[in-house]
Amino acid sequence: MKRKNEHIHRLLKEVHANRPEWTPTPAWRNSVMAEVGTTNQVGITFEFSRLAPRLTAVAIAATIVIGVFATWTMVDVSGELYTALSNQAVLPTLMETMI
Amino acid sequence: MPGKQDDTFVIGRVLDGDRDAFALLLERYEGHVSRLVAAHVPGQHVAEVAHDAFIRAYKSLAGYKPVKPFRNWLTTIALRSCHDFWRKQYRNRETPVCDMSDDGQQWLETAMAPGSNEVFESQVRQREAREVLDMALAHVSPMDRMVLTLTYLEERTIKEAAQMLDISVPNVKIRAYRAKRKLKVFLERCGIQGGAHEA
Repeated sequence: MKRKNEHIHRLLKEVHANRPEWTPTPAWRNSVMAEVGTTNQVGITFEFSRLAPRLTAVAIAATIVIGVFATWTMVDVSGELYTALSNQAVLPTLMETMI
Repeated sequence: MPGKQDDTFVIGRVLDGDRDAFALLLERYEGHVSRLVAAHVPGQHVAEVAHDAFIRAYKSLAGYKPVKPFRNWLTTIALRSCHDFWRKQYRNRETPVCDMSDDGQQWLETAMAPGSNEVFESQVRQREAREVLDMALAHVSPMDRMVLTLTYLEERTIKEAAQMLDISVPNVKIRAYRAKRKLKVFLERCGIQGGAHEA
């Protein structure tokens, strides 16, 4: 089995190594330079754009969901704090009234 | 000024607005890029993909940091162009199970027969052999294909492949393992027991 594996590996490697080569032509060089002449540089590529499009979409969706949840939680927490502080303020007043 | 301007100096000139200076980089690296691209995409698409690689390099030249050689940076860009070429191709493909031509099937059988060493020496059946290899590679994802070509067919180290593709070493290991398994399954479906060995 091992010999057969090595045989296949060798065959595939040889096929790959024997792929036809291509030599750049002056016409090709001119076409590259012509496009360079009309292309603007865009600076540093945004890292996110290197990810797969589906992964990017999922990551953006997850970020939005987490953001909404965090906002909702913070609003809720601030409501709870307000209630607790109000109660603390009301309690002494009630006690004073009762006394 | 040095006799042969170094890459960083030429890049500086291009970034300062001297677009014609890019011709120096093109002249210096066109051989390297075309060889690299020719090893990864079919012959009729090499010119187009190599062109795309240089245009991408030009567009993102401002992002190049001279912490690594320009050649290595350009290698990553060229391989990314090849990867994107396969992504486009795969979007439009119909997945065959093992529908290679009779010539391809015949080559595979001949190649696997005992004492078949002279098959390649003759160079006569290269087209059929290439068809088999292309069919096999078509069964893995574009990035796995790039990893498989670099590690299995060109026998580059995992670390080297990771640097060339600008992905992590564990990522290359996982992709290489997965791609070899798929290749093995494909070859078994085509009647070749054994297939790609795990390594």
